[in-house]
Amino acid sequence: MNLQWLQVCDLNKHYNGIIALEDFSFQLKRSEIVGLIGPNGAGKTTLFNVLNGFVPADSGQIFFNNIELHKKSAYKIANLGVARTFQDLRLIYQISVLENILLSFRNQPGENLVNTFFRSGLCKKAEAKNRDFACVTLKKVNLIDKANHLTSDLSYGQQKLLSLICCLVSGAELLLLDEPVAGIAPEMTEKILSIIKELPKQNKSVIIIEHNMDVITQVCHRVIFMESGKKICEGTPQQVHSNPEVIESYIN
Amino acid sequence: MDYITHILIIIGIYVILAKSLNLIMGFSGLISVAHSAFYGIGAYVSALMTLKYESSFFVTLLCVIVINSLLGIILIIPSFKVEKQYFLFITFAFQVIVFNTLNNWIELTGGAMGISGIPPLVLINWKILSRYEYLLLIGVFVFIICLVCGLIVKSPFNRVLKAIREDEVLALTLGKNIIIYKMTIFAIGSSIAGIAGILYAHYISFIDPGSFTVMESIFIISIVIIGGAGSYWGPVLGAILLVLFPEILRFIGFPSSIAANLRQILYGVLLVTFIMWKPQGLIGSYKFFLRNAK
Ligand SMILES: Nc1ncnc2c1ncn2[C@@H]1O[C@H](COP(=O)(O)OP(=O)(O)OP(=O)(O)O)[C@@H](O)[C@H]1O
Ligand SMILES: [Mg+2]
Repeated sequence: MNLQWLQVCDLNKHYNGIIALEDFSFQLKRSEIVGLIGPNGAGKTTLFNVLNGFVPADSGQIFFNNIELHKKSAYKIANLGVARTFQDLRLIYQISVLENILLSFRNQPGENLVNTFFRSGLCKKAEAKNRDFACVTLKKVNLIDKANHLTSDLSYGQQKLLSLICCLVSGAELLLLDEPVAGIAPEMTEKILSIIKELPKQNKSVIIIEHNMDVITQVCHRVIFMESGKKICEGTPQQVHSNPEVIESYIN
Repeated sequence: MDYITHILIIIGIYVILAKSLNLIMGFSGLISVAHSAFYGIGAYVSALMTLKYESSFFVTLLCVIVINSLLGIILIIPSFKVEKQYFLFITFAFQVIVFNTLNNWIELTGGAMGISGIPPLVLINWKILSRYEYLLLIGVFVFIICLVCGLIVKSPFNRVLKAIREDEVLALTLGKNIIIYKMTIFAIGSSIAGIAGILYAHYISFIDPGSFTVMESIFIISIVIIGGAGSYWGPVLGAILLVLFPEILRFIGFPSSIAANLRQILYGVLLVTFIMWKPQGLIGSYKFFLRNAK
């Protein structure tokens, strides 16, 4: 079998009889943005939970960069280069904005106490480098004046932006974004979407869950429509848009 | 002067205990009522090794660190299966097991009679006899432990712990192996409590299980909470205040029998007051018991 960069095969997931995923398969290339749409309870978030290792699938396989992800623990999958955001937005609220970003870098020498005590030079150097990069990133998105504020002091939109930034600095190549622009003001939506659109240029791929069709059409190369855990159709935004089943579902 | 030196030594020991519990509690968010068990293990291991085998200080120190690290790691393992709140019960069980072992394994520990005649510490050629020398030694240990804690506080390691105490799911998503972090901090915290035990045993020269009860753990928890969990100076301030508190009661003329009872009640009231109205403690910033507010 010739494996794609991300290859998902026949995932099944049931919750006490409720079908969350059924024979779900798809592929993703590098530098591709795929939209995942479907009604409430379709299984979109469940798919993310399975991909990033929170929830074990009942059956099926996932290959990422030729590595089998199924049954790997979440932190290992993250360290392979899979980052995600959450529908209900997760950040560490009692630390500063800057600290949230610093937390997101992978493989920090200072996170190992042996290095902290015996190789402090190495740790300081890495920390300074990460700090610079974090500040540059914060400047780019106009959040630099909030760098030392508590994360809980940010507005909801700013928090959503921050959680996207955290995914970016982690250096992950696959970003799973669960409704990154739901419930926020139009200017912030524009800002976040413009960041997402730039991602393929940095060789990153994105799967984005979104209910707003305009957003999907704007940023996605390809769209997957799912319902009751099954993939119903897949294609360019225009193709999916004109699919009768999708139209019916959206009218209902 | 002897009295003041004694109080300072006791403060020093509680600073070490509170600092180490703060590593566990303030940084990882796990509440442990087993801290005095680790304190007691340090005291007993050192007392027995010195009495039976005439071990040198550094050998006992090493043994206590190894034993407490291992026990700390074993104790933390169930926390991966249960919710934070229930982890408290596991530490309680551990505390009870250790206390009962000390109390009932009479051939080894002397049971409720305890161990007396513990010889003073000898550091290479320095035999520590006077109170002033003890104060100096404890001062050195407080200094080193504060230094170690300071390094940990400022490190990216601590940043991950802060993340873990607030949201383990997110910490995992960011690729942090939370098992390793919790084990590390528990091993370090338990070892440092053991060191406080060594210092205490050889200073007092007599130990019994009564010094290492769950009440003692709660006293150390009070120091941390009232001072400010997760903060650097909070446990130091808490230790000074709570050790001095009964002395002040005595000083202003309460008979000691009343003062002892009053003390228990007041500690309880203080602890509850702080948890409810000032969960960040006197000089902390982390609201320990508060539900996550978004
Ligand atoms: N932990 C769980 N326990 C039980 N059932 C669950 C669990 N998680 C999801 N489900 C069920 O699985 C189905 C799919 O849920 P999922 O959250 O993936 O939907 P979704 O497509 O993300 O919906 P939404 O658009 O509302 O976010 C739903 O019926 C849901 O009730
Ligand atoms: Mg969802």
